[in-house]
Amino acid sequence: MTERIALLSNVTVESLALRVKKELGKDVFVSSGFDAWRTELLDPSSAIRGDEVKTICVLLHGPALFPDGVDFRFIDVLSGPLRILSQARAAHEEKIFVVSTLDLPASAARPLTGENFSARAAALWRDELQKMGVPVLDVAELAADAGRERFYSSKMWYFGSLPFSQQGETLLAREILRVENAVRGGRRKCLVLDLDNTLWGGVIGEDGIEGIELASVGMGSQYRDAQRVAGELAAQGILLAIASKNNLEDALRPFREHPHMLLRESDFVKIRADWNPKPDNIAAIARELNIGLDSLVFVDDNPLERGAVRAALPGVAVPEDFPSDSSALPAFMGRVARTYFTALRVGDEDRGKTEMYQAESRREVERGAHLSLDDYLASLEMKLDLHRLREDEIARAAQLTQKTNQFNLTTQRYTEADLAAMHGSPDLRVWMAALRDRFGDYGRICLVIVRLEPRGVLPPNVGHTAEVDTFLMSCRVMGRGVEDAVLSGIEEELTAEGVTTLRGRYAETTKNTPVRDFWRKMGYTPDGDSWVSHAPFMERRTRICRGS
Amino acid sequence: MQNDARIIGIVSEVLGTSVSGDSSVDGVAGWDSLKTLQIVMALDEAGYEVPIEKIADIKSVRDILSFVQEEV
Repeated sequence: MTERIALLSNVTVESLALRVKKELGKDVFVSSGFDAWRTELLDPSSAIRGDEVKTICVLLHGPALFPDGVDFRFIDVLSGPLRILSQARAAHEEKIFVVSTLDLPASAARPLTGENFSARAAALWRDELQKMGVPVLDVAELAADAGRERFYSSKMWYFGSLPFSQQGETLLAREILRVENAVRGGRRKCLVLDLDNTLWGGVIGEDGIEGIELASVGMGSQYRDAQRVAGELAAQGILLAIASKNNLEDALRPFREHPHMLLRESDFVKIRADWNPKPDNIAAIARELNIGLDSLVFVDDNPLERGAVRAALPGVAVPEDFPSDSSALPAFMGRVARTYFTALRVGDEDRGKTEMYQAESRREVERGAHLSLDDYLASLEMKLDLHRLREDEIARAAQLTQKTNQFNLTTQRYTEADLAAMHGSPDLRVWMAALRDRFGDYGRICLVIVRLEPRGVLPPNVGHTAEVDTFLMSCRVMGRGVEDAVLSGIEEELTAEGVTTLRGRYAETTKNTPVRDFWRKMGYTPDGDSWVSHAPFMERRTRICRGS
Repeated sequence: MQNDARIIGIVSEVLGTSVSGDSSVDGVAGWDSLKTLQIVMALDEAGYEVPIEKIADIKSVRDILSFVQEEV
């Protein structure tokens, strides 16, 4: 008896069925006729009742349910099909029963402020399926990912009542395979990861902790995002392991020392970092965890290692499409998660976590309802580390003067040599500031250079003057009051050195108009072509904590 | 000519058997109307448009070659 899958739809799916057959290698039963899916589902003598049909997949094309368009009566239109599905699910209890979500484009004539009934109808459908506990074939998500333009074919629709393009059908066939596999419990148990160029960029043994690419924003954050996918799987009970060619102490350093590592040593059940062949290590991992090789998925950037594992351990799944460009790494990890680790439902222990998160997000929403800018800034929990420039920051300081255009009061460009000289000068004070908040670390984002009036000219009891040579900040952190906190911090330190007058300049360029009124806002008064303020300097209220 | 070879390649792939410019719907086993649709879909994705009005007229590979409009 060959196993069959029944594909029931309100549109033509014969072509899709051929592709499913090719991907799945299973016979596909198709309902023919526009509304046949309803009768097939409920008819006690239908062919889909046969024992050989293990899976019933109901694929409904949203627009075909609404031949007159979606309007405020959408509940009336959907309640019939939902009732049928609910009955059918009970009637086919012993089978895998999958229903598609609805992808409903909004009406083209919808006013900008008008209600989107299509979105509401699609959401209602999804909610009802969830209440029924039916696993979904998420057509809406597939269409969104691929883009409707590419997912559908209007030519096929008008010619043959066949809504999808070739690409759309291929994606659907794979999705049906994936969902069926997940429902059957074909989920793999353990994700074995390489380290170098997989969890971070570069080679830890050569580049060291400072040299590897890994960050919370910008370059390097693609590795953090890829780690997040693995972390989410671990939270759902997938076992994580490491198979890496490294000295163990090198391999562990990022986990222990790197501020942006998302995964911790404790997230891994087995860590094999040595110089043994990877197939040996992976076989040992499976043995020690007492799981079959066919429960393992191995991810490695190196095609040679992948080939070796595939040849030696055919049961292990080894995704071959590891991206050559690291920006595609998070999407690749997402595909790995979806392909091998999709769960049918959230486990009991995970559900507790989910509820906790849901409560948290409700708090966020409530907070959002009466959120002032000040509250918002406070909620960021910003921490500013303002310190005198360190030797190892000279390169970054030079880079900041070279690249910062908007928030740059004087736009003085300095080389590393210039800054090295300034760093050592007794008449200059150079500050660097770094910022982080509860969402991440922005790194060193602000540089200030102050020139002190030469010493020894005036008696010590007379106040000194100082002039701000450079005040610049990365535009990523504008609008948060960072500049207020930095200037106050600097004024405080200068006061301690006996400075009582601070002078600033604004040199206009085509790009730095955002800071045209900086000095005025900071309480400085115009004095010729510069701005000046005297001790005691103005107190500024910010939502930023000082400290490293 | 190069386009013709590519189009014939796509048709062959969909039909799962090697065809030539002289092949026709009646002469190729398994070439039914569903396969014709899949050929049009595959060509569409490769940038070769068969106008919707012509799909029903496809009786041979030669028909496809004459109906195809290349997307510019």
